[in-house]
Amino acid sequence: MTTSTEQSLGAEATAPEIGMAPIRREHKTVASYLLMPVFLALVCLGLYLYVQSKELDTIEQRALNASRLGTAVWEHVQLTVVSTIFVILIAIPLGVFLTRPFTRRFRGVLLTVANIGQALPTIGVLALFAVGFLFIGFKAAIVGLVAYTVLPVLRNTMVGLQQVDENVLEAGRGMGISKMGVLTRIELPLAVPIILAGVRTALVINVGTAALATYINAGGLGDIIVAGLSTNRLTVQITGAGLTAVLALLVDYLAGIAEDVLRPKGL
Amino acid sequence: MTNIGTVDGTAGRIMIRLENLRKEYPKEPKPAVDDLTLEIPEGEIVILVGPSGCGKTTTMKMINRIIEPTSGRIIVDDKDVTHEDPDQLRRRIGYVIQQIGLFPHQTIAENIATVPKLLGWDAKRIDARIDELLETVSMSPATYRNRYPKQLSGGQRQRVGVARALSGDPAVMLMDEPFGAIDPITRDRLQNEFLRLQAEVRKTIVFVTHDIDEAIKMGDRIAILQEGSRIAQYDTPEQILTAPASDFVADFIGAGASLKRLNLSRVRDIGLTQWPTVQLGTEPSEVIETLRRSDKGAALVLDEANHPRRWVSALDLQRADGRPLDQIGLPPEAVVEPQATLNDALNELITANYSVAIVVDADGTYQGIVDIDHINEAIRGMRTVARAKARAGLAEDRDDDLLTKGTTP
Repeated sequence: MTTSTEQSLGAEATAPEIGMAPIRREHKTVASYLLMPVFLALVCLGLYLYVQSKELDTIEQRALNASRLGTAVWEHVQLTVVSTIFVILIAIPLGVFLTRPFTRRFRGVLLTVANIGQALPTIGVLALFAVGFLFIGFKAAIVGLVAYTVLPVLRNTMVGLQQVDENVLEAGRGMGISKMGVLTRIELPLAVPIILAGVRTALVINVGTAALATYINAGGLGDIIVAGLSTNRLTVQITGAGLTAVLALLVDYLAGIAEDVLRPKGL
Repeated sequence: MTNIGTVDGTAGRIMIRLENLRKEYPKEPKPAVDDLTLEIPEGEIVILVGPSGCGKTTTMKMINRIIEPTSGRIIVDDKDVTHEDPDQLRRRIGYVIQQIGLFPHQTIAENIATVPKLLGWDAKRIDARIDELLETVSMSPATYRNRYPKQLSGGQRQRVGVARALSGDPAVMLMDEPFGAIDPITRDRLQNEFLRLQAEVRKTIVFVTHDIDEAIKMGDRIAILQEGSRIAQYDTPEQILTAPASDFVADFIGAGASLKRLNLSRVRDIGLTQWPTVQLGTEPSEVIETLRRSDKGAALVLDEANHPRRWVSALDLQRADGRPLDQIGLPPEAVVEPQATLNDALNELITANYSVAIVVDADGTYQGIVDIDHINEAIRGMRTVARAKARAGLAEDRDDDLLTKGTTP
């Protein structure tokens, strides 16, 4: 009944700035929601059968057992989730702050700092921490990951807030909604889809980058890959890399569902 | 040069009074609003109209302090609100902007409930108010309450915008080109609807537009503004059209002021002329006699109920060959009712037989006719009256000035 209106209006421009993570708009059917989990399950099954079909030597057996892999995956998830939480806690308030009119003067400086964060290779940051400050382990990895992914979330938060129709804000202020009320009840809800797209980007980047955390003894699936590389065991490398890829796709898939659920109705 | 727009004693209580209002922007040599004093009477639609950049929108937005004045005072409902908490002030003033600005993530009901919620009404009262307002703007609550703005057409969104502005039952409404972004047909309908609504609710409305025709149609009073929000003329549409105060006003009204003026008076306001009429069934010889006694070329045939039936000329009668009166001649065209505007009447009579419009009452009973000379005379009459009024107004203003100078504390 309402689909025709939604379609006709769904075409309106939603990505005002280049470089911003795109928002997915199409309405999904239940079947399309199942597609990705089934695919990922098949990839995992494939990996399992591939490993089963091989004669494993002791090095491979040590790397590829359930408890070792389980620990690595769990550590990887922790690295990803914790760093993303910090990114959200830092970047969204910062984005709100930087879009207020009174911060216009130092907006440029702070954006440059965030840009530097992303320009630096994470591996370099981690090495610097380890060599320069003897700062290693989980916390160091989190700091490196956060520095790297603040930018996409910050940028999307700012774009998301800036793309809110001026007239909607003026109508809100004109009806006597306070500044804070306009921010929390109008601006942020309307920016949610774009902010979430940024968070999703950050999550996926973090899954990939967390594989480097192994170099500063922070665990994760990087352990498996590096173990495979250093002992020249292809099966181990493929398993580690394959699981990282599956995890990245899974995280992206879950974030996509979160976007669909959290996007305000009516948009 | 003074920049003062006051109203005479015939207007109601002053609802909004702007005193020496001024707005300067840094880096701009001239003030956007230059020392404006303006009185807006209760229950009227006052239009601020002028070329773009004249400061009309700035002036309006200073009333609810979306734009803060540089100096001067704003008095709303006898209360100085220049330094009041703007959020509190705005909750008492309805606000409609051209782009409407409905909250896209809220339903129509939630949009309308914005101000009542801020005012702390209870849920039941808010619910009732939403339904009432949707009915008021001719939208069925059952259908539209839970829709989102993007599911509505432009005209419907505008209606919701008006309903939302009315939700807190404000005494004052500010409207910034509310019908500007709508197609002409819908705009006309919404304007008429809005005038009907205003006749019921009697709000004090400040309405900004750049369209003089809209101003004439919607306004009880029009302030024509020049650069710096200087008042070129502040008067009723009739007065402005018939006695423009300056060349600027005359230019702004543009060509066709007299034609526009015709939209403001109605057929019932001018006396009707009579025309030779005959009853159905009258003998042809008698009809010819009637025609001979008048200087007209045709008689209007009326039936028993005095409804116009036919135009019959002497030539028609000669060729009648005994046919009855209602089967010869021409059918009556250009029939108007007394509440038709002179513009409608003129439009009808231009194309009609014998260049007259027949006036009938609501039952269709013949009342008289209007012809072009008649309309012409009416226009000239109005102009004389308006000029006399304008002169009298000037004299009065001078008296007023003396009075206020004497009594100002």
